[in-house]
Amino acid sequence: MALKDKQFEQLFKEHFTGLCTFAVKIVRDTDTAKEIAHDVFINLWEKRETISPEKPIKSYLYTSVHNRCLNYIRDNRKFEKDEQAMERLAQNYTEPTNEQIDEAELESRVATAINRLPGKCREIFVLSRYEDLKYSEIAERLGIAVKTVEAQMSKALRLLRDYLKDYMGLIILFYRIVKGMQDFGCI
Amino acid sequence: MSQKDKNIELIINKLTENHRQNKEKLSAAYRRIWEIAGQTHEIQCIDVNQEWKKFKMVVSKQTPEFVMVRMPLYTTSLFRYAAAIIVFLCLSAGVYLLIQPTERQQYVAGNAPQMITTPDGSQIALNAGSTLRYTGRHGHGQRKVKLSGEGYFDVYQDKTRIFIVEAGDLRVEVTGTSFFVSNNAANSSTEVIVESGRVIVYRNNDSRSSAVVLAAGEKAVYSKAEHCISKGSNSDLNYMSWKTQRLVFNDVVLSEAIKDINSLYQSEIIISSESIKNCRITATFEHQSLEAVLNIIRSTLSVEIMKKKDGRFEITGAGC
Repeated sequence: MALKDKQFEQLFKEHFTGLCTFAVKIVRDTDTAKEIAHDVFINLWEKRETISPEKPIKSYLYTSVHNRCLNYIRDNRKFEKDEQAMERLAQNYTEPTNEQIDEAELESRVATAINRLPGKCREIFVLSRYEDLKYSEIAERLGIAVKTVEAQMSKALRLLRDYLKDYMGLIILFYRIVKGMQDFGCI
Repeated sequence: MSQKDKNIELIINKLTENHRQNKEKLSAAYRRIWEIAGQTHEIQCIDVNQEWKKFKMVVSKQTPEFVMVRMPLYTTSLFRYAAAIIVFLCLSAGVYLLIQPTERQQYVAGNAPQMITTPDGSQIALNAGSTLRYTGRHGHGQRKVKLSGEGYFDVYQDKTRIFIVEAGDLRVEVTGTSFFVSNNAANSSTEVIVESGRVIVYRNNDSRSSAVVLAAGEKAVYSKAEHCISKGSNSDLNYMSWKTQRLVFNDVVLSEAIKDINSLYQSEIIISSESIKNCRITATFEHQSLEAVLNIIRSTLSVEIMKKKDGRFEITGAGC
């Protein structure tokens, strides 16, 4: 049974962003990440007659992207001085784990959710997340009350949690795992 | 704990106050979202529907080089007229403001780069043919300049006064760092490359809702057509050559190297032999004359370089 066009479109729209996020972490460049994601889907398109829609396509897609990213690092001399990239190359010639895949998906969902926050709310969230400013400093910069800043931050978090309802389980699970590892001194 | 972490703890505590039963789970979820949010600025420019259209074009083998995408609102005639009127009004306003006796100053770099020191101690290197204008009132919590062309900014650290560069539709905001901005003549794309520190880049006046944060070594490209800012790492080592007079080639192909050389020396060098276009070269040139650079290339790659009567150079050779 082959992959029909409508199903393929769904697959593409569901995974494209997550795959890009995953790729960007390795190749550090958005355009390259997009190209790699496109290549993987083109490849899949050519094979669509022989793929059954029940099979775990997600891990196939992520593994393909992963491999192409590593090839990109290997073939691209600009990474030679990049120790992190070289380390990744040395260690990661195995398939990406389910955790890594889920993490990338989660990241892309969070980013999409942030993009969907209403204007002022997003602005305040961005300022708070990426600058080391106190709420009073943010309030001063934007010419609003500190209470407003706090209220908008609460709103942002609540909205984000709402958007990510389906992934809540994953989010908490990850937190527990990461915290557990921290407590044991693993990371 | 950094300020931003302290910030979020306050909010999380407030949000989970009334949830005695689920408090731990809830707090954990919020903290995790906060963490992940810190890692996710790279996917600003992914419009899945557009990407799907591009994909369909490619697989149906319709003119694979040109991707036809449904044109967004801003190119319809009505919008064009509206845009034209707005531009006219802005220009009129601009002219009106310029006529005013003003404390605003303008710098125009002619044929050579020009160094400017602003009242707050920031240094700006303006590339040839570029213009810099002070806008806004100085000393009022903001330092604002308007750039057309290319400039390198070394901003004096002052957390109480943010430094804003206006380049086309883009705003670049910092408190103190060094970075490069290039805004091409037709205003269809603007590039920001960060040398040190951290920079926020966003569209439109005062709307940080589209902001992208860049760290040292990163680059953002704003494409007017795609109406978004994409972030990546900077691989061009020679974007500052016009200022540093330094060219670095790290195993690059000759054709790319020649582009950078032409750019810096305003020369016209062409490679006529296909076989040498992809020869790789590794070299660093600092404050060298064009002749010296070409000499090194000639001997390193064993190619012939001829200077023609019209001042152009031609490179020929057998292979790498």
